[in-house]
Amino acid sequence: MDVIIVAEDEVTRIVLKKILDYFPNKFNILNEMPVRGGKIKSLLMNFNKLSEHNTIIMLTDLDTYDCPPALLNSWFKNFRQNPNFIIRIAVDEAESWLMADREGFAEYFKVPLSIIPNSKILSPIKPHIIEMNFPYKSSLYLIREVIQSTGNKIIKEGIAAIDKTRKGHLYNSTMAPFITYHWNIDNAIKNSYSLVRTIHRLSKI
Amino acid sequence: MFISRIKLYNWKNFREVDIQLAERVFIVGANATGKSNFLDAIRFLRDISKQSGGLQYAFNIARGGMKKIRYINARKATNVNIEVHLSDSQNKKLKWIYSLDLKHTGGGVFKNEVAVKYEKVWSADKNEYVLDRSEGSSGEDEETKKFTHLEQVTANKEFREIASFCSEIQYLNIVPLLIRESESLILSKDKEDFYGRNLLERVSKLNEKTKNSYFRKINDVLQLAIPQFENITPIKDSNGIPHLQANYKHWRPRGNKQQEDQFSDGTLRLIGFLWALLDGTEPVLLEEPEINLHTEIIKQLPEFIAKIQKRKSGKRQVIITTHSYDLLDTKTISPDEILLLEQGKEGTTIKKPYDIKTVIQAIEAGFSIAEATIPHTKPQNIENITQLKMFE
Repeated sequence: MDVIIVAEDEVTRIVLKKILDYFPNKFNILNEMPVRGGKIKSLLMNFNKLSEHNTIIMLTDLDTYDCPPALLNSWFKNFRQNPNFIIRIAVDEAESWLMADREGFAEYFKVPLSIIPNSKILSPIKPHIIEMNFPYKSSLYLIREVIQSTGNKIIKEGIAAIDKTRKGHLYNSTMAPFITYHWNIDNAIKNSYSLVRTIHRLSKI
Repeated sequence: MFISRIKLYNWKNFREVDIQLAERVFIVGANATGKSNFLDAIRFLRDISKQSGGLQYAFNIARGGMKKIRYINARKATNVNIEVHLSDSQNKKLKWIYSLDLKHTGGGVFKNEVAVKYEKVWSADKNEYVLDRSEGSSGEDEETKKFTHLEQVTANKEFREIASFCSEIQYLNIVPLLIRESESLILSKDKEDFYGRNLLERVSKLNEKTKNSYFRKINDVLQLAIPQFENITPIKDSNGIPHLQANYKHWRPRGNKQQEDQFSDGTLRLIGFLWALLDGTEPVLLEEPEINLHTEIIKQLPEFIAKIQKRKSGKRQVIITTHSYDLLDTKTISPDEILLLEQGKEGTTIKKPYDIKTVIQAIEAGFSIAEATIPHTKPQNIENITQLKMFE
């Protein structure tokens, strides 16, 4: 099936492509949009309109919203979401899904397994809804805590800037091979309900 | 007049092209797909028509002959053909069709040359061919075939309008380094457009009144774009060599005078760009006007060009090659003004957004030209560039 994929940054885009590869020969990517990241929200109506012609699969981060439905409600306050416009939301970010493959991530980036938090049940009444339990934004936690404990200097310098406040110069290109060749989705879904939902949704279209 | 349609056959990257042109054209495509070569076909007609030009000059001297010009994978048919349709700028009606077919002659002990296989001019007013010559026509011999009628004042009487139109086509691709390098003046001798080197001569040749009026306009723009520059004026040094001089404002009340060799790349390119747009009424070809300019200036270019191309006699045609997201990130460019160059097995093809479903659908969904076309023209796996092993 022909699809247009939408992601707001490089890592999210590679994650989305890897997820589509989880379904062999199912998806054919027609286009990758947008050209400039960080514009997703302002282009929302355009994507919605474009999905009248082709299925659009968008992957975005939860950011400051409490939960995925809250984000969608806010985004589609003024217009109806087209059924071919599929939006998947990573809780809380694509990096969280990557670290949800705890063993794989620890092994590839040479960090102790214990530095990657476990997942937790978000609500006692819905025990199946589990997500990775980061004390703050997962991408920041990755830079400040997780990657600081690696013994591999190249990985460390690539992913985190020296002052630990920003991504390193080689952030995307250091993450990309892990995502494409090593990230184990079957392992990651054990720790992330938002990833389970995404796989489930894509299997149905 | 403007070029409303162009057909190319075996011209450089293009095996075959037949495309309509608007009065403002943006040519987009990946690197090395032939954006400049497309412009070069138009420059070629200019080089034939101009006073010191002619077919042999344009073909062999300026472009290195058939080997460099002919489409690299040319099959059986080895002729090179260029056809332009010229329309009236006001009523948009077709006025002329000029078609030139060329073949290679010589080789071995004979000099490599180019010969006219046929040359045709169709006049819409007369509704007939006012010129229809081919290699077998009576009166043609080996010598006559070395020249086009377009370049000969006695032969182009009936269609002189085409010759003067072509000879006035302007091309601009300023390389600031060359303008600063005074030695390059010698290199640029006899060349119509040597990367802007002759910009200063062209400026100096214009009559005072027009020159001053252009510079007033240029100064108005520069005041907004480069506020520390004041009052750019053309001057001549003691040897009669033309220069540009501007006042550079700083803490001293009167600032200090600077000449073009002290101007920044962006300043030089902006001046050249403005000059090319202001000077003349026939088509102007601009290579990547975005180079060296600040994002916020680039964003204004499409509308600024639309404004500046307006003439009493109709719109002046502007044909631009660009890679710039900022330049194309607007909804004020219509899909009809875009040419998309695509590399295929049979050379480069030129398409309009209407020809590519995903592109026109994105435009219709409200995306800017940049968002709609760039995903289509980018190299497929460019992101892998960061995975290459360079020094490890």
